[in-house]
Amino acid sequence: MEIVNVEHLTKVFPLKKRLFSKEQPYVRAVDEISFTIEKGKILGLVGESGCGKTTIAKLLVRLLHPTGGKISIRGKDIADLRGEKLKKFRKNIQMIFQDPYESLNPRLTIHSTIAEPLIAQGLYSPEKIHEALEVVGLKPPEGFFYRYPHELSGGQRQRVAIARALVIEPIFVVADEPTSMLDVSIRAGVLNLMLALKKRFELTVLFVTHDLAVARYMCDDIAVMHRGKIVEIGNAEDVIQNPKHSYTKALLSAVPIPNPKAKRKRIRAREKVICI
Amino acid sequence: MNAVLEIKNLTMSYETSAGSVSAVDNVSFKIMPGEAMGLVGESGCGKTSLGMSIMKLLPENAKITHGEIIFDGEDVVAKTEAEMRRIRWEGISMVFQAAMNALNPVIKVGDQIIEAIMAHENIKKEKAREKVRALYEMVGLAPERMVNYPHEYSGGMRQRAIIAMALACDPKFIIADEPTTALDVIVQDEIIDEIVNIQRKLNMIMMYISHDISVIAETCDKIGVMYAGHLIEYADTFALFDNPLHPYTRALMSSFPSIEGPRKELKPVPGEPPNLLDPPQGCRFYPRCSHAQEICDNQRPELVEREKDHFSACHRVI
Amino acid sequence: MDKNGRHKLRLIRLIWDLVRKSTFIKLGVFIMILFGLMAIMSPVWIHRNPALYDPIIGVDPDVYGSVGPSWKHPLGTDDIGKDLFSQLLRGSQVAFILGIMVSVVSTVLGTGIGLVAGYYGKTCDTLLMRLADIILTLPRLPLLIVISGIFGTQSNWIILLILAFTFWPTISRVIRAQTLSLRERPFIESARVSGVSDTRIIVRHLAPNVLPVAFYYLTVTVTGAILVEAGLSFLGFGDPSNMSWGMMLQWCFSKGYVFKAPYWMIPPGLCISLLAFSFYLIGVGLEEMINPRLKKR
Repeated sequence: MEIVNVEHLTKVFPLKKRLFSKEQPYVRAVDEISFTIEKGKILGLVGESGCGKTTIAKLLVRLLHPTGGKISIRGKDIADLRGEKLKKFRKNIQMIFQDPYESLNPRLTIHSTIAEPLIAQGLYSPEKIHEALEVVGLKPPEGFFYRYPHELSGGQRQRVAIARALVIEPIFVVADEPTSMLDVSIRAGVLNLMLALKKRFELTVLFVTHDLAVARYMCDDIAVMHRGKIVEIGNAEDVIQNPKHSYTKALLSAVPIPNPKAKRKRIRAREKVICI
Repeated sequence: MNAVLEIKNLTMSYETSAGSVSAVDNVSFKIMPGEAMGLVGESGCGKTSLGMSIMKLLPENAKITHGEIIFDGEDVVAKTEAEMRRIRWEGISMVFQAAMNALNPVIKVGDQIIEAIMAHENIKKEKAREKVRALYEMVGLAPERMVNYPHEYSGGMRQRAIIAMALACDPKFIIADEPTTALDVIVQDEIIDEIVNIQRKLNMIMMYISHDISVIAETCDKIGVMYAGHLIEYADTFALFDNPLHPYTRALMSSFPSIEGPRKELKPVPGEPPNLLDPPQGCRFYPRCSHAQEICDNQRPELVEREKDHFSACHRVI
Repeated sequence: MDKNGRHKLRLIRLIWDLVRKSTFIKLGVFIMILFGLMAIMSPVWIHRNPALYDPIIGVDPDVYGSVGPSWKHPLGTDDIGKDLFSQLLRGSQVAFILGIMVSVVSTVLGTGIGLVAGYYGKTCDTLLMRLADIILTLPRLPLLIVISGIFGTQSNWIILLILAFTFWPTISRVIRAQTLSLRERPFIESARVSGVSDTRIIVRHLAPNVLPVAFYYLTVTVTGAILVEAGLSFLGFGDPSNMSWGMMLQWCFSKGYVFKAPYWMIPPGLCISLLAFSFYLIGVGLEEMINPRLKKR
């Protein structure tokens, strides 16, 4: 069953106009993107910085308004929703942000932070906050209620961010590089947690990352982006082991591998490139 | 053959309002001529502090309390700031994290490197310019770009320029601290390639500091693994990956996903690194170690040679 | 209610920490307390003998012209025999009350407008900031004269209104700038993604984060208010039904006693400077704390 269906999604940003010119230059950050995500699956959106993947993440949670195209969540197009209708629909789509330091309000306690989405959607109950913290592994929850973000470690903060995203029981979650700012040994824990939660709550996820190795670990399918377009999309193992597009191949060949023997073969095969 | 760099029992701490933070504790290792050594560990393990200690670029509240840093036969710890200024750039050079933001935005890039050279060597500007041109070729930048400003360079190009600057005075030793963290994967790969080639060609020694074990795997001959201020394992790269002896090294390796080989499950390490204000007496990894024994809590394990040229600081013998 | 109780305790501890750590704040608060005591003393002093000591209508019948300090009149009297000490005490009251009220009104107004302008941006922002710009160009004295003329009276309330009205633009600019940068931070984006209403975002999420800066401006504005009020009163536009330090100086000057009666001229001037300075010190101390705090993770 399709949960997410994106068709010809486009977003342009205006650039600074030249002083006496009538033309308004713009950049196509997202250029006619289409993809679907089935229920319970994780789609990885992979690419380098500036390729548009974060813009797509923001479009899907309607932090940005698309310039064109459709975003259908369970059949309903949310691309042009506004006001009350948009607010009601927000219950179904949530986001986990990249920076564990910046995604929590430094002046709110953990309890208040998790309560906010519940209050906004009219679903508040103290039990839900308790359960949310337990589910992400912050035990005992009471010990975390009245603490502030700066008292927590990066990994704990990210767990709070996950709890906040899941507390209103969305059907679709967008994760924007959720572990790239965490220490490596903490990363594994958070990634495994996300996989477990996806399974338990049958979540549909869009996982944005620049790290192909993480994408391979987490995702069922992978879409590779370059300059606002999807250049290759398919089953994760397929894309990784048998890349078809030249950009995907270039990207894969550049990923460092934690195995000294494997890498030595590759270095000899590459040529030096002069930057102009 | 004598080691170019030898660290002996280096101990260093930061004085904070909350107390003394033990950042580097009794670390010893050697780098032989032509070698590239990788220092790997997570944030707070002391690897950057170690690098800064070698360059004596520590903040006011940092103190080297014990140990020696012997570079080219002389102990750096004892040297004055004036003496250090001569050693920096000419003897030891450093490429910092996100160093590409360290370029002066209002001076042409080429001129900045020329300035650096002329500050250290007594040569004419034209000769310096020639040198910079050669450096640009070496790091993979087009020499025509010497007349551009930093904002006209991409991130990768700026990093190459910084590397060129670090090489400008023909140092014998380069310390690279996460030189590619802020860069895209493809650019990162090119830069790392460049660094390895240059190091081999100029026969310098290099210390590559990173949290990314994949990058260290492809650039370094030897690897030192740091945890909470201690050097807990030290071996030749192949030996380390073939048979990691320390539980932390094993845990670290199994938390890196890979695009190669079968898709294996990542095993997280429970708990958090210790508070360095009040570090534990025994092994600092003890609370999180799945093979912990009682002796680990009481006695700090020494770095001992377990196999040929493979050192590990663990009470457990496999 | 335990949660709230905990918060209040934290706030008190925070303030106490602030006071303890900064020498500037300690000094500023000390001076402020001295003047506070003066203000409290005012009715007590008058009570001793209202006919003699009331700052507006009290007069010493045994005195002709201005006389110097004595036991009966610690600071002497003015030219018609009114006690200068009670005038000074009353002036302290006025300075405090006026200063604080102006500060509170203009800070609340300025913060509110700054938050709204910064959050909504575009037309709303442009309109509000242009309004702020226009107000900033208004000269206070002519404005005071015009408004007083319209209402037919010179009163401290009008002064309060004018001052609050002309002080808020500066604060709103700063708060707006802060809001603009806060608005882009992920925790605000997260609130929007959750469907939190705009009002709630402003009040619950943005406001607490601009509070340190607003608080700083609260103290600094008191300084400004005291000084401006003193100036306006000195020029003769104070409230004649009350007494303030500026007015004392006005009387001294207009009656020609400036060089003849230092006991009359010096105390009010000194008080204006000191009280304004004390709030300034508190502001400086706060600023020291704000800066590292804002950068702290």
